[in-house]
Amino acid sequence: MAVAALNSTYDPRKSRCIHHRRNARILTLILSLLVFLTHDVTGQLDNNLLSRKIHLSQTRGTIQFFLEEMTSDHQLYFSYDPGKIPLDKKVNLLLADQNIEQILNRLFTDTDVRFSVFDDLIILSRILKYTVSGFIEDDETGERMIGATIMETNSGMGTVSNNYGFFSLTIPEGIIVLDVSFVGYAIERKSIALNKDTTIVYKLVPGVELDEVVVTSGNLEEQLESSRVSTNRISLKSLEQMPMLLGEVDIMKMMEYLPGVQFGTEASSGIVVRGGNPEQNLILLDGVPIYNSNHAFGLFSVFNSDAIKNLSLIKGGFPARYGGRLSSVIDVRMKEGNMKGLHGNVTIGTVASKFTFEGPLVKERSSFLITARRTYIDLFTPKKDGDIPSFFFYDINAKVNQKLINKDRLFLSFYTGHDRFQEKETYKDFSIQDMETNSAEWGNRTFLMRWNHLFSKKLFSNFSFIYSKYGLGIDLEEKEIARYQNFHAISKYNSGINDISVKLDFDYYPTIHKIKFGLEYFHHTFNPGRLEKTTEEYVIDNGMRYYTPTGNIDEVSRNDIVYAKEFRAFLEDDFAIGNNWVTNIGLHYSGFLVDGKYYTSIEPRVSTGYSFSDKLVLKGAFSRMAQYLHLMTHSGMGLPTDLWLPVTSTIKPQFSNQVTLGLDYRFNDTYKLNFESYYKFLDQIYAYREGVDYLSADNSWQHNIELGVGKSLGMELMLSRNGNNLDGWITYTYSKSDRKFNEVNNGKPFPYKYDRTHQLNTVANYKINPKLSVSATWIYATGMAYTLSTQKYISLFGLYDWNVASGDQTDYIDVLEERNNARMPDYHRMDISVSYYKVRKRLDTTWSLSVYNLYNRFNPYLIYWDNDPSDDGKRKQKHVALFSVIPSLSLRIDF
Amino acid sequence: MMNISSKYKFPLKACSHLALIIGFITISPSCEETKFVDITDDQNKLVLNGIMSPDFGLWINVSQSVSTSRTENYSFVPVTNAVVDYYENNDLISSIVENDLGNYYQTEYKPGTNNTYEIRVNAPGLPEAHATVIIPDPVEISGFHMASVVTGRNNYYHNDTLHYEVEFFADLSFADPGSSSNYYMLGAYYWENGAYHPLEAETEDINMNIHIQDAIGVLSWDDSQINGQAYEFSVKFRLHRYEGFQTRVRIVLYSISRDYHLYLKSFSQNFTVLNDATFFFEPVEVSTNIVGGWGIISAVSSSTRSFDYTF
Repeated sequence: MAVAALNSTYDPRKSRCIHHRRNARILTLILSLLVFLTHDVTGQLDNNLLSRKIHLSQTRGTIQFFLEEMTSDHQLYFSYDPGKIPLDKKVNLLLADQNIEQILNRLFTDTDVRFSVFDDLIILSRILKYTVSGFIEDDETGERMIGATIMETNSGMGTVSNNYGFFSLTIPEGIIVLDVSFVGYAIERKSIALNKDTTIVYKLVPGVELDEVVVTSGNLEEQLESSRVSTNRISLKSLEQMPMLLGEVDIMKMMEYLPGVQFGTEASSGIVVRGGNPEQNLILLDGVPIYNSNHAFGLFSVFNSDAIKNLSLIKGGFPARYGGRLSSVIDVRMKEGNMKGLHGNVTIGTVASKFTFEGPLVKERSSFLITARRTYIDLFTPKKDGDIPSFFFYDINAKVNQKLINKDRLFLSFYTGHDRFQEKETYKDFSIQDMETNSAEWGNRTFLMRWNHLFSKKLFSNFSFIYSKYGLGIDLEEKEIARYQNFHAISKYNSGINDISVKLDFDYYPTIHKIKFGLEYFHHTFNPGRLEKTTEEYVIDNGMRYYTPTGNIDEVSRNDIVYAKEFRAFLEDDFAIGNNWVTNIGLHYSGFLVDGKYYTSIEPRVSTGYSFSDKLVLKGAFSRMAQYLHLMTHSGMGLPTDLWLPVTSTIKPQFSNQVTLGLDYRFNDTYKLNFESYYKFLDQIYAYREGVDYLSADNSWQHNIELGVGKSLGMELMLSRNGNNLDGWITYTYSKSDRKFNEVNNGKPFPYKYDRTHQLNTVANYKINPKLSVSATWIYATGMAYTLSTQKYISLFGLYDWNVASGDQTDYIDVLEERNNARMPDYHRMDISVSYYKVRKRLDTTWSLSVYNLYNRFNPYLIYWDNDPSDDGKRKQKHVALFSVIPSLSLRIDF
Repeated sequence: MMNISSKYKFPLKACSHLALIIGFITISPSCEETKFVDITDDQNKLVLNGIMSPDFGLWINVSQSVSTSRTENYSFVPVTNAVVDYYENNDLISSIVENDLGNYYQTEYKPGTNNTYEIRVNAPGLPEAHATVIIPDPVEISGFHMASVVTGRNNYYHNDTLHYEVEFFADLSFADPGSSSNYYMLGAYYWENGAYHPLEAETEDINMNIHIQDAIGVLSWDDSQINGQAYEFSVKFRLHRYEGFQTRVRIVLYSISRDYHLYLKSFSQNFTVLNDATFFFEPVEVSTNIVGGWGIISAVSSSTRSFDYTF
């Protein structure tokens, strides 16, 4: 029971005003104490008084008007402080005849005023609120948990822990019951007497297979985050159960099974979100942008699943804290390391092996995590001379997490990934020895220092220093040793992007609002391509070297290094309007300075959800996004030669506007349906002018780009099941996406290359018993668009060799009038995975057998015309599929 | 011989090799199916291919396009009954009749530089096609130096006569006119049996369009990096002949029309995509300057240097 603050009471007829403030306070204190102590005794009196039905002269008026009328006409006496009661607030009682309790409830709806009865006096007082804040941690590892739900059961108020496990909830004083839950963890319930600001650290116990807990957690989260639109979260548990390709579980490939996400080419890690280009996805690892998310030309993503704690995919309704890309945000969070004990695992797979170690540096104070992965195909390829390529990649994730004092925590995290390809060709005969070595190396490197500081129970801050680098280097060497002549040439090409950035952001939790705001500054350095060439060529005559006119050439050619500064600021507020409406409104500002030109963008963001019942939520969102970086790529699916470049004075920023409408419907605790539709407009997106080579090192790249527009619309349906032993989902996506450029396809719109009209995904995980589980996925998608020539004609060189000396060019030219005018055959594929778990005292083992493309579907990856003249009359069309059935086996040992 | 344009092709090669590696380690390698596709032959258009120069006049070949599903044996369909009207600055010069296999010549009339020429072609059953071209001014070779070496490669005797390879090195300089955009092509030829035959010229000069050189063996470049400057570059080419063989080598600096430069670039891109990079690249449509049809009518003027050489 709250303490009522009474400075005056007002009775116009009996002159019962008490004006003496000190006396009033004493009286208030006494009254409140009496009310508190005699609550049970007076309960009956309260009921009698409050249940009395009265008739009011009108239904509309101010609170003051109704209080005065009830006092004057119905002999009801109120005690309150006029300064703390919104007397001028206009209310509509709806009915003139109601009991007093109903009238008072109506009068003080949407206010923090409450009433209580002492004897025949109705005391009006303001509700006191206190903040309960703290962190949610995993009880076993001490890891702080992202997205855990905290719900006060009496008031129905709740929140969700932020990316650092912090929460803050301001609720009325009294006995409160807090439920804290997270999928896969036992619900933690605590009852406390809230009479001051309170800090709590919740430790959730993992591995508790209580479906009710899981489902309840999901429901709470839905209620609390009903403003969140077009967002999918992938749990570690789901990830671990997915079938593997070549023994590796890949989070990027798993996203292909989510609604609105379409895969590009088979086995590529590049994804297409709602018809956007793959480079329009903002990929963040612990908040650090990753510029090339692929290993092995797209077969694997750079994310080692053992290092991942949490993953969110946002396709629309982007919160204002995100910016810089048009189509999606893939927010990947790394584990922090076990605070309590040394643990780890080793996985031996078909093409790669990996390990993870984590543990405390100082128990309960600091921890570390290190994971590493390497392929070993190159170790088994022969090392003899000849035309033998070798390839490997490795990556390392490391993180240190240090609690400084109670309010501060420091994180240091590091990622490096490296791909290397080498090919060596040698030729030798009696007169000449020829050796050619080609190698390419590429990879990302990131470093992050993050400092969390808790300013108060309601204000959480986060300061980050970020370094991110992507680079590509290609070395070509040719050596030719002949009897009379030697030739040696080395070419080195490199390109890349370096970012240094600082970010300061805050989470502020005043009462019902959850406000996030922050600033971010980037210093970008772009290397659009530098080529160095050294040539040495000489003739040997009588032991003397005579250099040829083109011998001994050292040349350097480069696109100029480009420096750019990017500035971002954001403000967003997540708040509830009444009990049913939750809204997130925000504004994102960005500025980009390059070559003396400053581009700015103000991007409004709003997403909202209205709960019609505890089963049905209607949602909607609008987002505007800007992108200042462009990816120069011919494939769009993640080749190492892809080149990030900034806007210039001629190449303008890209923009997107997206509208989303949808609903969530929960049938019961097991089944949930999500439906969303969207329309996205892309402006000033780019394409290469046809017939240009962007890998030149001559400052010409920006003249080879064509700006255009694109649009994408579609709808997505997702039915998910979260059951006892069987869980999974089915999704259907309908999508239409096209592009239009003045200089491409004669200026006519054409389907986007990765547009797939229909896509149906099924994911099912079935736990047969505690030792055995089976997972299966099935995907069906409309075939990818491609350009099919319908006519051909003879080339100039087919008629007259003019000055063309080499004779291997084709004589005929295929006409490509309509870009992407044909479709490949429909794509479908089933993968399965069987996992066998053995739990021992010290070592747990998991054997996983996966089969990719179980029923050996021939899914063309490439279609081309074959000029083989052996079949007169008809020309052959070749369909090439990348993979047929691929089994893989992996063994994971946990300790 | 290594060419720096290999940097462009290299990753593509790597990609296909990677696929092979992956195939090698899996029990079932990647696979291929052959389909036979019939595409109806109902969208035929006129195809004009030709060259126009002040030295030679006009040659044009007229054919028609065919369904892409035809094999090459059935793909060249010359048009022998076309009417080719030849205009200079909108004045009709002549209507040319066919010579053979769809070839039409007008070599008596020598076109001039900077005039506008239009070639308008009509043939029964096909839509009209026409092209407009302007011949650029020649840019003179201002400096020229030649050297040659015997490489010692591929030496052999035939009928007691030594056959061997000579590598020629040419340093050329020219002054790019700064007033306009200019496009160039280099030709190298040797004389044998009463005709000049092309030689494949190579350069390590990274300001020239090495990609075209790499794909179709033609050196063509624009003046975006050298606009208005005096420019010097080196090329080399090889010839393998017998001892005592006498020849004349011609080096020709062509000034070419923009349309033809774009044709060369897109043709080489198209060629590369078809042959090297089918996995990842968007197909490239070959540029054309024919309205209502396909093909290219190139406009060139030239500056020539030559020298004699005896093996």
